[in-house]
Amino acid sequence: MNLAINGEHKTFDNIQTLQQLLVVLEYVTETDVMNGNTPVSNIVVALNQAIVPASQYADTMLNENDQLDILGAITGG
Amino acid sequence: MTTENTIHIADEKINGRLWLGTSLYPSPEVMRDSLVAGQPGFVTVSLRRQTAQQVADNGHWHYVQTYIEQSGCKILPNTAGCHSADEAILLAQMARELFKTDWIKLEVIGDDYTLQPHTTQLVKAAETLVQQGFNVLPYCTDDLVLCKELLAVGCPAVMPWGAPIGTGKGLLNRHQLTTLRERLADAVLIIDAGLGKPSQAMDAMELGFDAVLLNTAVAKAHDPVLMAKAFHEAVNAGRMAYRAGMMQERQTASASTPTLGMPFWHQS
Repeated sequence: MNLAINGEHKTFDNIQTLQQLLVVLEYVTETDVMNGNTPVSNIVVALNQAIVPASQYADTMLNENDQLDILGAITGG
Repeated sequence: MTTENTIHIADEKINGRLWLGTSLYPSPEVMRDSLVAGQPGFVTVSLRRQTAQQVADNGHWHYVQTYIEQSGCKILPNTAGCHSADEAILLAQMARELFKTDWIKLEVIGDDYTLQPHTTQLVKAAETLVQQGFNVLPYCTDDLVLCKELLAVGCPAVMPWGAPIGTGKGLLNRHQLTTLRERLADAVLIIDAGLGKPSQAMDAMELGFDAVLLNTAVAKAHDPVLMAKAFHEAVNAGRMAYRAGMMQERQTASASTPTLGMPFWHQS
């Protein structure tokens, strides 16, 4: 599946849900998922410029050419 | 506890009239110590695309979180870098999801060279975000009518610039800022951006502004921690001076020591 992650085009195999993608990209660990420690609180995700609440990561299906923005906290003025 | 330095906005108590940014410090530790020294009412943060490694390595954010938990200071995410209402609205929504707060410092830039706010897009974004339950604190110019529009759509305060971001030039248009204070007597007004020295922050507070927000002046000082303390004391002194009521300026000299009983008076 071809996806645009933070503006970069990448290809993934065997990915169906947003949660699976976040595990592959190592924002979330397999252990977190097994222990039920998702949703994570240190990132926020937009799928095709619409926010996906953390509670819906596991239920959010990805489609070919989806655009994902994965944001974290930074310093600001 | 409510003190002279407490400010109420949107029915919430903000414990400090100096608000500080978290960027540009030489290290996360210096940023943390500067926050402790400045005792800000708000600390500003932002959000950007990050890899998993960047999220994991974020020392600044760890210190900001710890400071907020220990101090009771509030977090104020910004929409820095946005150039349209639509961009700012989406980034504000993402900030609310990430930082778990309804506060947003709304920035919509209209000119990249001066970083001057885009006035029409700013009002459009503010109106939408207020309707979505945000406490919108807009970074704006010192235009009176713009500030009135932002208040009219529901912003609980407005934050006109003193000077362009990062310039340290202080209050470039004191006449206009004085007019804002006079014409918007009941509004919460915060000077955001352009302050470079504690004396300029005190100047803003003496004019009757309710708080000041700054970043570069502290972060780029030779000793940021000491500068944060200097700004803290200047802001508080300026507020006290405003509350105390300052004397009327005069054109001519007027002796303060009484002349009555002066010896040798007209004897020579």
